[in-house]
Amino acid sequence: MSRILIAEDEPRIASFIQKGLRSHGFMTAVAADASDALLMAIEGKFDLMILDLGLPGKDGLQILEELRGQGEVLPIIILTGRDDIQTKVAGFEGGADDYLTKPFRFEELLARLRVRLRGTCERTCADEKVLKIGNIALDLRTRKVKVGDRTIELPAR
Amino acid sequence: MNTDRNSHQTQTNLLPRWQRFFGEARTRILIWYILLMAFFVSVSIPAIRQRLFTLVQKRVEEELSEEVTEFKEMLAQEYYAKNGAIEQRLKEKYGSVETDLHRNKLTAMFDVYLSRKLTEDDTFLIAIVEGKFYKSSSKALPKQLQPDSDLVKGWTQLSQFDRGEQKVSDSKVGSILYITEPVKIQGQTLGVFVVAHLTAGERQEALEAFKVVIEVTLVVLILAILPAWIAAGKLLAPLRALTATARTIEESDLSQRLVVEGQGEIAELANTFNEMMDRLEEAFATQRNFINDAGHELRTPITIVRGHLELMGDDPDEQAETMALVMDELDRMSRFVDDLVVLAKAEQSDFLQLETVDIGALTEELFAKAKALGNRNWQLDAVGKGRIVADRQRITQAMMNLAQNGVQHTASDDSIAIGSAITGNKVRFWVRDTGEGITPIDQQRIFERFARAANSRRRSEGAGLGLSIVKAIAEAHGGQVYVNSQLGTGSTFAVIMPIEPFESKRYSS
Repeated sequence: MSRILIAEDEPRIASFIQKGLRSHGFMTAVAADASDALLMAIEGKFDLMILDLGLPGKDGLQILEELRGQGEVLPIIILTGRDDIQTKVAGFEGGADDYLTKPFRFEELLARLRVRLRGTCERTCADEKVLKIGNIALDLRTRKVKVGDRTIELPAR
Repeated sequence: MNTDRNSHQTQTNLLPRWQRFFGEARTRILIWYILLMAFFVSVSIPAIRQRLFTLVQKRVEEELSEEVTEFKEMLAQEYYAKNGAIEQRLKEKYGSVETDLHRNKLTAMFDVYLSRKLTEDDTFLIAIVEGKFYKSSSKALPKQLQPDSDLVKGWTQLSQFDRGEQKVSDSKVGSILYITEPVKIQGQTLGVFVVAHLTAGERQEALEAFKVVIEVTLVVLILAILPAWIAAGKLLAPLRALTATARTIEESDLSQRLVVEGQGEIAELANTFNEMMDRLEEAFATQRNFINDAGHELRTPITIVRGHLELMGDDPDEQAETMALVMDELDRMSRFVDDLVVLAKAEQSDFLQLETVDIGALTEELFAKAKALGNRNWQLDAVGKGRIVADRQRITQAMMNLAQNGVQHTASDDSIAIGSAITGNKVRFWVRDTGEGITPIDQQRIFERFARAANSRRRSEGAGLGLSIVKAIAEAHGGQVYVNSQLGTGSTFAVIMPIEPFESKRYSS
């Protein structure tokens, strides 16, 4: 199961991202300020980080720089309200893997997140995508349960 | 905007060529120069002419006087002299010097004098004896000086000194300047000595000199037009460079500046222009930042609402929870839009609805309203006495913003105090709290739009516009808002403004 670090200071945004990701089978943790985000990104053994650029304490681009400076390779998706080209370019140059601007559709975040995880996760957690007990198979990605030949779709929660 | 400017430029270019030419400063400078020079010439040329003629006249008059003086000297020295030239002449003429006839003696003297004198071409000496033309220095007398002319007839009757000028229509003569000197012997006027001068010759010379002056002046004037044109162009060259540079400064790039060279008006213009560009750039940046910040501020609630709705499940509890959250976010957006509108209105002239306000009653009212904002130890510091001219609702809004701000930065066991006072012609409203205090750095920027204390999260109220609204309201009243704060001790915000904002100018409207 992939572990996602959500670095976001607005609790109401962090809460729905967390809810959505959990319902799709991810493990999540929230860092609400820059120092937490740095510490958790380095120590927390996460598979991916969603980074808001407006964290209190330090500018998001600086956090990015510090992480990459320390050789941290975990995929980072920037999620921010700043949509100017300069910031976007600075984000990618600073080592971000993707850039998504607020407001966003959760589906899109999820899709991008999966693309970024493919590199790391296909090796380590390919077998975790489908859980099987007897003739019941749960596909964690599509949230579909197969019981024999019948397919049941599960709601988001 | 670009299209506007381009069309304007095209319009300028569409003007007829000559019209643009005459609109140019360079052409106008040249035209003024020519007009000025023409004025100078038209005034100076008649003056030169007059002066030349006066000089001629004066010289002639001096000559005439000299002649008369010489004649008188001779008269005095030689008339009674023995063995003089006159006696010799008498001998020649009458064979004897012995004559009692003064007439004869006088004619002899005239003979001697006239034969001696060499006169200039235009000068004529005329001797009149006993009321009759006797002799002249030249046989070729002009018509006007012939013995039977009116002028000469007039002279024959003279018995005293006279000088004058007679204008004659004949251009070869010009006018006749003359001096007449009666010759008196033993108290009787026996004859008249006349020196006459025709001015035409001299005037002609003066006129020729004058023509040369005109010619030279005009030629120099025309020759000077070219250097004047070049000089005007040179003087205006920096201005054209300025225009060219100014034209390259686009709205999209306001950072360009003009190069200031040397000193003087053009450099001053460039400096002023650059200063204006600084202000413009700053204003644009402020506006851009404001819009960016406002956009950013609206993105957060939109993100929250969208995300929560997108992930809402079927559970009624969860739905109710999401609904409450969405409503709260919408309220926040609505308040934010209200704040933006207030700030935009604050820059308009009809922002304030001024009325006479009793500050005692207002303070009590503010205190009562503030108490409803939260459970704090509310206190009434002081109540000012008097009336002010202000917008009651805006003052209330400003003070409620300050009180709300106080509530947000205090805990329930803290005190918040409200007060008012009048000092001189200023009124002061304040909100004092015993809260966390504000760092000096934050004190500098809390009144800026969207400014939030560093490290603070999005607050439940407002979007960082509250204090800038207080500032806008204070400034609209011609006042200011001040903060005095110490970390850990608390803060005091004060709105200080004049009792009567702007005389009664805005009051009447």
